[in-house]
Amino acid sequence: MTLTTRKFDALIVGAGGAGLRAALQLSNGDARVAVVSKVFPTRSHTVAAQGGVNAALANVLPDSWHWHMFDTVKGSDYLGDQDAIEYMCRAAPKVVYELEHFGVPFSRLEEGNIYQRAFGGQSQHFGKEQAARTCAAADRTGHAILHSLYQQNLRARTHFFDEYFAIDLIKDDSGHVLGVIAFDILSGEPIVIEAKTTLIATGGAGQIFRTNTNALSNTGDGMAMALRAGVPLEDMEFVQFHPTGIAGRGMLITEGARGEGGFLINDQGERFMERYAPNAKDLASRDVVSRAIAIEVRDGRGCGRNKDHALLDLRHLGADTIMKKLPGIREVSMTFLGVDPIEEPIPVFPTCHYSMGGIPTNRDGQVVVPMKDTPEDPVPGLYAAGEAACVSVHGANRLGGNSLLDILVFGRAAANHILDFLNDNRHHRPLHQDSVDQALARLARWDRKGEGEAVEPLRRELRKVMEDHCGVFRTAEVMQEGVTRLHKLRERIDNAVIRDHSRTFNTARVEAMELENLMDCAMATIVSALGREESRGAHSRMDFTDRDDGRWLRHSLYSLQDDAMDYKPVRTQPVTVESFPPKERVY
Amino acid sequence: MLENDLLLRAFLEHGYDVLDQEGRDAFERLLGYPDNLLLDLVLGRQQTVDAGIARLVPLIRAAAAARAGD
Repeated sequence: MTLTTRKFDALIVGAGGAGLRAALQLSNGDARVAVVSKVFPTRSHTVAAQGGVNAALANVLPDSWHWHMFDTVKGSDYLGDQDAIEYMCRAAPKVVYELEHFGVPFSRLEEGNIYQRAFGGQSQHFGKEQAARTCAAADRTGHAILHSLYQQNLRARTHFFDEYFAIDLIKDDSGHVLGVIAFDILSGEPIVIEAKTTLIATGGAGQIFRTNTNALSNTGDGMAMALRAGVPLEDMEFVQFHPTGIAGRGMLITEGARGEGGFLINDQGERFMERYAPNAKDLASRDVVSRAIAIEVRDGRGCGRNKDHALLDLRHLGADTIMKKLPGIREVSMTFLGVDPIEEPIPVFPTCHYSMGGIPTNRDGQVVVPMKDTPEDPVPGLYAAGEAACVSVHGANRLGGNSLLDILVFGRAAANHILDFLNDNRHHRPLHQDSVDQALARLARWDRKGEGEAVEPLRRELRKVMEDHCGVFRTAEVMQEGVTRLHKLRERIDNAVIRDHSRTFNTARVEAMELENLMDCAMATIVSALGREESRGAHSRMDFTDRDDGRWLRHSLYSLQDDAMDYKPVRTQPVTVESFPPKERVY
Repeated sequence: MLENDLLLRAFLEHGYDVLDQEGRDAFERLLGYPDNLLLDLVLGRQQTVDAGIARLVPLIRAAAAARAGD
């Protein structure tokens, strides 16, 4: 078979904020750049980010990048790498001003400066007064950023492979990454895209959980590609959950509903938060409320036909209050559940929102792996940025407003490093046919006909296993059972088949390959979570309830080979300032 | 965006097949809208002057409601 081959200086896999920011920097730097995306670029999940971008502009209240750094280190529960955090917080104002020049319509103060709102976890003077650090374009910041970056990329003549699915990285025997094998979803035809450098920016893997806030496209494709290329994933056990997602659907019901007086009930109609948090009750912190819901369900007091959720009751607030103060929540509940909260309580369950872990990188965006002598040797030609990567600026817990910042700062930083790399590496390396053949075999595997399980039920089961065994209720026993179930599921996925073997826009094939990627990311998450015997940030163990800096102030590394775990030190030394040593995290 | 994914998937499973050509053309026009505007239209936060799309909106909402009991 003759394969179409295209060659570029730089290839970006993924067209969200990180990918498009990197692509723009590269195109403006006169590199020949291609972006591969399985969805049209402006449909990428960045579009859903509402909050904003943190930067110490001091437009509303006094601020400094150093205070921003302190908040981020503390928020990370001291697992964030302090050199990368310093770099990010210092770069933030410049990145925001660049966005403004690209056309992002930030909300304004009366005198014309960029408006900044206060978010949780932001402080002045290293943990004292509240700061106001988040720059936003109304409640559509992600949308504004994504569209502006896409248009700038069109102007800069970035080449887009829209609706192409990346199968695997191409790698030679010396470990250099040479591009990817992808296929055109429209025609089903595979293509070799050779590149001197490849950047993975495919976003998170929230779809490994049944209830999550992520777009259906967030299936961890880039993370799984990295795993298959021998790169371990870092800190995958750290997953942010929000306590009240619409059960089985995932969309958030904001804290505002409980702030207005809404409360949670179990199948007995009991206000169970009174038992878990007698004072704060339904307004206890997110992790406490999330765990309480999960325990109620585990103990058989869940609601509904499958007893798999709690109920958020707003009825006592009355129709007037609900319609005036919580119209958005009512609208979402009615649309997606057919439940009017004036008449009935809303089914809720903790919803997965964000993956702190991912492909390990340094602050130049280079993918780094443990080698013989060092824990962080760059993989030549391979970069990662955004939620797919773990640089690690979020550590064990991400602060609101820092995820858009992460994708912009490190998309840009990776591109700058790539430009330097291209100066020193002017020629393509020879294509490695074995690696190409392996990727094509992965694609051809789904052409197999005959008996076998279908993809969708397996995907449903995987997501349920993760929700039941690696959600907010984590013990060794619960997770070990989850690992056993995932091992069995992995074998069943190996024997699954699809019924539709047509070429043109065969979404069954895409979903099958996504399932394989989900499987790898799910295993990485649960094995990493089982390994970490402490509670830190978003990783909360019922059997190891305290943070244990002596044993666990280190990053986890999960490898696909034998599902093995390894660990590496946290980079506690910043670039120019003194380190923030671990302290108890109190707000 | 998850909301759009769920709404449009429900409609493709419970509604698209019975559309006539005019309805399918309107659906294609709707797919050309940016994510946030598309969601605002379907949730009724914004109105459209495109009569074909306006006719689709209640059908999409009905499809989502039909899936609500799943």
